[in-house]
Amino acid sequence: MRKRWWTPFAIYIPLGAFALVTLVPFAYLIFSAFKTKETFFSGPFWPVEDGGAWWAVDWAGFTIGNFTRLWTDVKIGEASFLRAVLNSFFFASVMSAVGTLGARRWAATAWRCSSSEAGSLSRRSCWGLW
Amino acid sequence: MSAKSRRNALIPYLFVAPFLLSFGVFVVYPLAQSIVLAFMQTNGPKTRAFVGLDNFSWLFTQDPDFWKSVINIIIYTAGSMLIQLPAALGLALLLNRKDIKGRGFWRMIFFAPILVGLVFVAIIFGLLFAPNNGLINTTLFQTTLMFDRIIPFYPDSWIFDLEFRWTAEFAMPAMIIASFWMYVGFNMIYFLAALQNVSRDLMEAAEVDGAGPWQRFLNVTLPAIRPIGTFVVLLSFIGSVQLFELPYLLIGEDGGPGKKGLTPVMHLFAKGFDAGDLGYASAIGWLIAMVLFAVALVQKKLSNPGTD
Repeated sequence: MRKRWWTPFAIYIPLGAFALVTLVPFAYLIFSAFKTKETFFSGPFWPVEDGGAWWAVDWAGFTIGNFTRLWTDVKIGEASFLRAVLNSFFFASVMSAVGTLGARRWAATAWRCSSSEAGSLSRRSCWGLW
Repeated sequence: MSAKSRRNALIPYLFVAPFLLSFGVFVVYPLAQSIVLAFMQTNGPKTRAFVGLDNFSWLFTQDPDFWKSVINIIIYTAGSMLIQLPAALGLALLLNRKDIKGRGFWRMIFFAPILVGLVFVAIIFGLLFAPNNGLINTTLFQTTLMFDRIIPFYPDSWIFDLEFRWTAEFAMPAMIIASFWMYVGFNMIYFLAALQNVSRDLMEAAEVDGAGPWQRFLNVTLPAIRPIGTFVVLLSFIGSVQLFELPYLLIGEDGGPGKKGLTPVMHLFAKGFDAGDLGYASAIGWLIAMVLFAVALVQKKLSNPGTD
């Protein structure tokens, strides 16, 4: 098939535009994580100096305090953030393990029942539950 | 039957017993309870009275908020499916090309939003749509201001209002945009998997027969991806009808001004857990379930024409 000169543009411009739309909220979020309460709304992405243009970065407006506060000050009810992370980790691990083992059990039984070598199990009793 | 063969016949049941037990306790029992509850009027979990079909008749005749939520969800479902699925298919078609560079990279970028979860998306878009200082308002304001400076006779009324409240006045489009951002890559993965199974031989045969790209797409690609396509449509439909977290956090728990962001599941939540009428909430839940079941049946028929 003959390739036209504009084919790469027709492919990569939509892909690039879409990637930009996808990444902008992530970029916004990453910048937001390093802003203080006072500078949060000072500029669309990075902190901007008072009365300055949107590209005038206020370097003093950046902080890593949000990350330290997360592990020291933040409480979710009575629990710390660490507790919440551990809860999620525990839940995800147990659910993955139980789900995988359960699915494996189901698949193994289904395979055994459907194979012609069902052994001593009658096909009826084998499939009775499924 | 000998004792040994009887014992052997029981072994599979023994293996699946833990699953059946937990399935019975955590799925079948609550479902049965919710059917019973749908015919009761309750005031909290302990007080209940049998009311027959009153919950359902009230739902259909006396509950304007429910119908508002139904209309909202129809708009949301239509909006998100008509925009999201063609975009997902378009992206999948682009990424399915043989000459594409960095397929894994693009796939990772487009799939990334699904990893953050709906609650997170609601928070991000709540900030992006914020009046005055939100990124979207600021960008639209600055862009229209730039047009005003460049273009003579640019009407002042076309300069974007920085104080525009998307989540109040434009609740549904805001939700459609947020869910588009989240799900388009997810649906793209399904379409991409389906496209990768389209027979190359068939495509080449169509090309040799003189079929153009559009004809190949309509007559070879689309029929080949139809089963996955209908599955994605069903999945999107179910996800849309069950929508809860996104409007609850983005628009507000009451659905915002004029209840423009209220969904049936939010209504169910409000009735069941705020008002305490679990019976009425169960009736709403079963109605939603029946609609989804009917749509799933139709989808099954459409995806397998001529078979049962």
